[in-house]
Amino acid sequence: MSEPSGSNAMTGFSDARINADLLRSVFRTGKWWYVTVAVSGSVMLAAGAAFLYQAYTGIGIAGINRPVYWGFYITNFVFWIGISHAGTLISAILRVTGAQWRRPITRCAEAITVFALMIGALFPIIHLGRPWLFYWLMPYPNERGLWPNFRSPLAWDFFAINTYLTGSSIYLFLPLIPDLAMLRAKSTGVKRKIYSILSLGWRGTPRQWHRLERAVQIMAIIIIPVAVSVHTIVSWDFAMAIQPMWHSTIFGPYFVVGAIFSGIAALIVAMAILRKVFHLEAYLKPVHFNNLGLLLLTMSLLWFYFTFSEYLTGYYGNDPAEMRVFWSKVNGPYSPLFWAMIFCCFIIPVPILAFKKLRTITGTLVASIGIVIGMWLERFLIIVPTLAAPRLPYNWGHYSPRLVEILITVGTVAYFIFLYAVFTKLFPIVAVWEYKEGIRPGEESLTVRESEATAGVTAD
Amino acid sequence: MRRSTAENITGIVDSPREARQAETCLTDEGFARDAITIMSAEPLAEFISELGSKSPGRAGMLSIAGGIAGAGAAIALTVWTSRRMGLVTGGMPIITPWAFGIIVYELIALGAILTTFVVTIYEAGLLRRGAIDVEVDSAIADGKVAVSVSCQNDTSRRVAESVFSKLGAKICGNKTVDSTFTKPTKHLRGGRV
Repeated sequence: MSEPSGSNAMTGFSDARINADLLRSVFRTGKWWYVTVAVSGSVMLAAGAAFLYQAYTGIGIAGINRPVYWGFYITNFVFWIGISHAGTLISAILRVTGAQWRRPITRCAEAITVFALMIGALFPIIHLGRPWLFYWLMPYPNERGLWPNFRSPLAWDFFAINTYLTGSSIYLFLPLIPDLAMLRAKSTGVKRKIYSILSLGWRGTPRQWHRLERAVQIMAIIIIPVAVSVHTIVSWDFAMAIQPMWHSTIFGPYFVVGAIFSGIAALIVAMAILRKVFHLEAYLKPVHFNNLGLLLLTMSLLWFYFTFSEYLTGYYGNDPAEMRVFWSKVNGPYSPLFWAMIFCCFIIPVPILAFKKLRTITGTLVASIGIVIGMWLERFLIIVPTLAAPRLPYNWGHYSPRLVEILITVGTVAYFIFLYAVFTKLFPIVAVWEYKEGIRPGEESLTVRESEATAGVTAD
Repeated sequence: MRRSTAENITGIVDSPREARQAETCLTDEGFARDAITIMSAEPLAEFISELGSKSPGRAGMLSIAGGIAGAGAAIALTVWTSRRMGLVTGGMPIITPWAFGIIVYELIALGAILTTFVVTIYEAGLLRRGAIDVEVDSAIADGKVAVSVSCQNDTSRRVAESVFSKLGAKICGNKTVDSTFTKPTKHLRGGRV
């Protein structure tokens, strides 16, 4: 009994300290948690009422109309599916490449994926005129004589999103099992019973650890191509149509890059909030923001390259229909949104993220908030201007969102916050066992690796 | 609830090194290695690597089989749907090879994911009923390492307790407090002292 119990010489953190810090959100409920849940819940209720009003009155109450059949709802669909690339894809890439600094961030990233996908998948249903018949969209042999249109990218979305949601949920759940067992041990009463069921009888034997780690590795490898396919297929919703500025061969990779870009930005925003609210300064360190900031910088440059490439080829072709949409964005009614997008996604974040002195937690947070807003604008600008100016001039129109659409959009943001708040109340947002595994004595310490990786990285 | 005829004696130690020491002492005393189980709140590489080389698991191979099953499901769904429509297309396929390929791709992934999950649950011995000693569970959660040994009779129980006492480990019996899911795995019943 010579060594101190579970302590780590490099970090000075004992197991008890790590448990206390990382399980605090589960066992202690601060007043701000109630405020967050109450406010986000109220906004959700308002959005729910707006949706019921739309369902009762008819989809005509929304701003979408001929020729702009896709407005805020489909913009939100593409946006949230993009945000979902924050977690599982990034976590899987970091796991596959053995990046040790991933440990404190994987779970908050994976949770973003599941919630964003759940929200994104709601929008095609919200968008329907008769949402209660949503299951008619499912392509399966039926007695209703419905055409199972496997050729439609919307049917492909059904398969891709469901596969990704299933995979992401399992990918979130598997590494959660050991922490659920820990919560089981530390809870009493009904909570203990619930955690006992959820932890599936986990005991932490070498066999269980081995099988779990193997499963997580396999899942990480499978989930990467699935994640890429999801946003590629979402891009094909547009690219398969011969519409101006949609029919592009690079839409697949352009969307995937945009999705990872917005996903990392959303992850940084979530991490900054969690760090502050749950006092996780010792776990979500400047090095994590620095590394994600560098990834974000790379994605910003890549996004700009794809955007430039996309617009350049359209401009060079000089097709009248394409040019009409092109100029409506660059110098027409949509130009304020277009230039706001360029500012938010490129001009503001690149200098912040390129210079080490500016790539602080505050800096990356500012850049990320800008990118999230900019990427929503990008989705809107891909969808609406093209639909507003189709090839036949007599068919031109315009779109302005109505109150129900705005309420539902804001409501889904509140829904995301609500889900995240409830998740942090039920489960540790940093994977306790993964973190401990990374700081075990006798191995190269996570702290040492972190400090070597980012000598001179400052917090603010 | 199913119960093992053997009694599990568990010693709680502070570190993996001490757990290894306890395991060595127990095997020196004649316990079969398979009768000893280490339990911890984090993966201990020294124990896992041994197991990995002895029993690597079948999740990898079975996930490929799951992918093939997923492809089969995709083919069945699309072919069945096409036939069910009874649409006269003059020999043209109702489902184009492009769409078909995409659906097969997604369902291969889904098949592999679901299979990996199910195989992991099975191979890790999860979802099985049995006893979890609350004291042991709590100690593991606090970062200790538990060494459990299956004892077939009083003699082996006394030997195990003496080994744990010598090492200064805290000894826990087989107090059944929570019986949701876990049962002692097969290899825990093999003590031969």
